[in-house]
Amino acid sequence: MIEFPTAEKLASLVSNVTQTMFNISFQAIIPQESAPHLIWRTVLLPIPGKDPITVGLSSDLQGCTKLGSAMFQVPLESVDQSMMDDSLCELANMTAGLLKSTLALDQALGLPKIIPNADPRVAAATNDPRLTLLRAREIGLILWVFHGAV
Amino acid sequence: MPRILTVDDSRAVRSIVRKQVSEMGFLGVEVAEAEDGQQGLVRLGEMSVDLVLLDVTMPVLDGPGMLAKLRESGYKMPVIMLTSESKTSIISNAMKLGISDYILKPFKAEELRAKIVAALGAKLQMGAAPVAAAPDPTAGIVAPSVLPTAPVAIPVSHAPTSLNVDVMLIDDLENVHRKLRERLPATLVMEGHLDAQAATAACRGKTIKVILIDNELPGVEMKVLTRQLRLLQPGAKLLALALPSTTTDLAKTSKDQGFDDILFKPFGQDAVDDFLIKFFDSQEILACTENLFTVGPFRGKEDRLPTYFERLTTGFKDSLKKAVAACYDDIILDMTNIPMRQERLPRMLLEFTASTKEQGIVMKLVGNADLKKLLSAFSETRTLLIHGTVQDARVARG
Repeated sequence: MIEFPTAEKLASLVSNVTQTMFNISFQAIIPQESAPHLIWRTVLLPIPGKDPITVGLSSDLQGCTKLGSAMFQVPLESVDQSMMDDSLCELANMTAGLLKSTLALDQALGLPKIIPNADPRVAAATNDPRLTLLRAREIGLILWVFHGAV
Repeated sequence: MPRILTVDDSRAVRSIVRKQVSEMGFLGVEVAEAEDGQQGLVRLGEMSVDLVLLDVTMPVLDGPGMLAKLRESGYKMPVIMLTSESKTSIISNAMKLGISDYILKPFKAEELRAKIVAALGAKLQMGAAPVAAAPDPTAGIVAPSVLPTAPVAIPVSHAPTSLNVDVMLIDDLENVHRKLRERLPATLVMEGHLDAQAATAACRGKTIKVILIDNELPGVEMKVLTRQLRLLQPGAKLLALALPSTTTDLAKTSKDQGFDDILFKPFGQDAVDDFLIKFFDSQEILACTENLFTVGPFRGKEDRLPTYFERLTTGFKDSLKKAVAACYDDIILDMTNIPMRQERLPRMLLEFTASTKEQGIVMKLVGNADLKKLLSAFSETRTLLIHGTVQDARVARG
């Protein structure tokens, strides 16, 4: 079974995307804290294949708004729901691409999907040790990386 | 008026592309959008498009699906994959369908700009200075009267990204690009440019092994260009592409101009093979799969044979170390393709046999009748057992 990178390395992968695209860097929170409030919006992206894995991201309203604003380069008040979803999906997509390269996985990326909060996986995620809490300025993010494709 | 079609299911990416292109300083470039491959094909039917920026993973119709359909329909415009996807088979299939280039997300505006310039070339007209544009690394190289010409969209043949380039060719004649691409192995990544300016701009952020430059590139001060390329690509070998001359000492001239070597035009397959042996530590000389070492054929001029045997010897030693580390009891050396040179071969084989014995490993040889005949002529190698096939060697007892 593939060994996943450390929380710091995962933070650097997300930062590689956000730094390149809109000059924001994330840090892993060590020791990891529980941050259930950040699971307001969640996207999961499967990477099926020989070693299936799933990559996901969650954030709260503030984080999603700031990400949307940074990604679309528009003021915060112009960010709507679809822009938040789209930004979170694209950030998950690019992060998954980099993670795949880091793990030398020659498997195709699946499509990212917004998961409703009522979904049992989201409900059960609050204390899931497979989640990594990341922070940048006023954006909190939870990165999901686990074995098996959703 | 050039038009770029960005096909991506992410509205954010389409928006970033649109904004970045608008800030690149091109005059009158339009950006059209489509959110999947099917919509992309509809857009192509509705408007003329000069360049497609295409994502891979999309709902309804994905990037490779759209690419196949647009090529089937006869569209020949350059297509640049702009994606997070790096799966080898997806990329190599896209290469086969003729993508011009590949950008891995996340991407910077400068990278996108360089690829757009390379793809659209002369179709682009510059307006005001681009916002946050990269400094021009070619300042002083190209005479002001020489306008940049369109680069050649030669699909690279093997590259997860185009950041590692084996051969960069700078020549203003398109046919030279085609000929060289035909003659290089498909495994080598080749990038071609018709002018020095585009080539130096494309050098940024890449690692290039060999740069071939037409030594009569119009309007170019060759010394300045080679100096600039040395700064941008300190590890690259610079070769002059020249026509043989009876009046000029080309070896001296090209050295003075800053070149490491010369490749003469018109290059035949022999000359290209010779170039490959000289500048590429080709895996084809010795391919190793687990404990099977397969010797590749010799190609090139006779005077390169010593280099071939030297590289084979070095490759063998390195591979033997790996086989020892992997705890193999034996190795199989398939020499079916080896050139029959009686002055080199027996001595080299004796060295190999001694090295394997030293490591406590059994070496099983595979070869044809010619090899058997050659080795039987020498008392030292007469007793070596040669198997006819790899399968025979595998089942044979050590």
